[in-house]
Amino acid sequence: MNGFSNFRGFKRSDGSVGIRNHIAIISTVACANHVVDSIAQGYPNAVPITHQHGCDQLGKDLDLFFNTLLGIAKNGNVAAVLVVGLGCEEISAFNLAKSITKIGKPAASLMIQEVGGTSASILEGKKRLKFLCSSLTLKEEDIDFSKLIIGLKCGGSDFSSGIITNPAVGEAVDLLLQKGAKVVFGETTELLGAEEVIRQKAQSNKIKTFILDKIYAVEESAILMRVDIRGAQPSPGNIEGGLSTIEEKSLGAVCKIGNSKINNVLNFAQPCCKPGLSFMDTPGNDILTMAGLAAGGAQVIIFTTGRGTPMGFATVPVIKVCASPKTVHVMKENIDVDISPFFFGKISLSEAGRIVFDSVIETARGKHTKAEILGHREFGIRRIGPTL
Amino acid sequence: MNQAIQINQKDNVATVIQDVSINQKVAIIDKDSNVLMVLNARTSIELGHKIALRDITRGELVFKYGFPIGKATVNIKLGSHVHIHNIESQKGRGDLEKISQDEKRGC
Repeated sequence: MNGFSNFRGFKRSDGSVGIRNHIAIISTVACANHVVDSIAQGYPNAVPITHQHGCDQLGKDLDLFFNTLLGIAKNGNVAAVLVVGLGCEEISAFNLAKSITKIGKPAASLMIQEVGGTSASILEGKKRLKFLCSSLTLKEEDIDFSKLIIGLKCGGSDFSSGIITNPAVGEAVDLLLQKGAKVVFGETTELLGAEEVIRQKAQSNKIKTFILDKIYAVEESAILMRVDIRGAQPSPGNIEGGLSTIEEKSLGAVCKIGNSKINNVLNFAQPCCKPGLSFMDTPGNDILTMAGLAAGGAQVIIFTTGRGTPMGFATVPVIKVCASPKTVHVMKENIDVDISPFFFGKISLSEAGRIVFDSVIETARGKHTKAEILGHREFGIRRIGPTL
Repeated sequence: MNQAIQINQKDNVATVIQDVSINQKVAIIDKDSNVLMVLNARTSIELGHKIALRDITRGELVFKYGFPIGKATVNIKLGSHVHIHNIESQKGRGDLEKISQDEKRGC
């Protein structure tokens, strides 16, 4: 697949680009989840975005919650948005929808207490959804690579992750950056022990300090809790897979950023606007990291796994890359890219990198990932404050 | 022959890429598959786990990827399985902090 310089996508009014056309139905509070799920039923492009939060949240935690939902709504893969609230929660469905229409994206809202209960809200929601769908004019166009934002994630790591899977993604990242795409990686917890790599790869002192401070904050939180981070990092599965310490896991994980310098840093869910390689401060947790990456604008996520995981994401295709000979067999239906032939001497690292790169292009051009085909539409909200 | 990959030349451990039984020979290779040395496994080592490339003394740093991944908690013999039973992390150790805090309080 050499020589191409673009992919097919959908231009949005704010200048972003989608490789999918989802109608996001966003719940602003857990009380609206059932109505949201029911509205989405029967519309294959409608994606319910539900969660357990939105009530009794305050301050920075509430801001982060709002920004995450807004970022998900603004993501290029989302063509239009229906926001559903109850009516008494901190974030008004109306205000969230208003912030979305400000960027020119079609959005509508409804509040269950105003419409009058479950059944009436489902009926009204389906009406508004139908109207949103009919108002969309979707034209697939040739899109330049610079409009593509690729998120990176690893989950269920084992020995194969650091030896070949993450380094192969690193090779693909080098190629994608050369083509002008933006790449974002996160997982601050999984940089603990890889500080020296960050020192070498940060393009400026400011970037280096930002990332190192975030890593120290994670370590500090374990120390403040008076716990050994080994209780969760590495996980029991990681340990069974041969990883002995968080340092070993991190040094393997960081291989996925490739050989480029890190030239931009982002807070959780902050939009990724600058070209090049960006770091986003996210937890190690799979679904929360993906929510941050998607809220930052990632239209596709490369997800490396050793032990295998079925997880996808509500509005973003997630490409599973795996090199474990056992996992690609046992978890076959969940793995998109099998680079296990490396362990039998059949492919080199750079060949594995090219296979990963090609899979990103195919996905951007419309090929569905395994998680999409299997109906995985996971979503999660990162919390930084208590529920009161 | 069984193989184990040494990722960086600084490393004192390598990762076995087949299940290895006790006393089996293991070829240590670099990332380009060049054989660097051959050694005997002192213990059985599961696929993906680490083998010691030399004797590692208690308290010494264990290197993989060219960087420390932890500290040896006991003396580790050349050819032995290296994992959580004989090395430990030096990061995020709030439990150690607890001990020192408790000591400070005279508990």
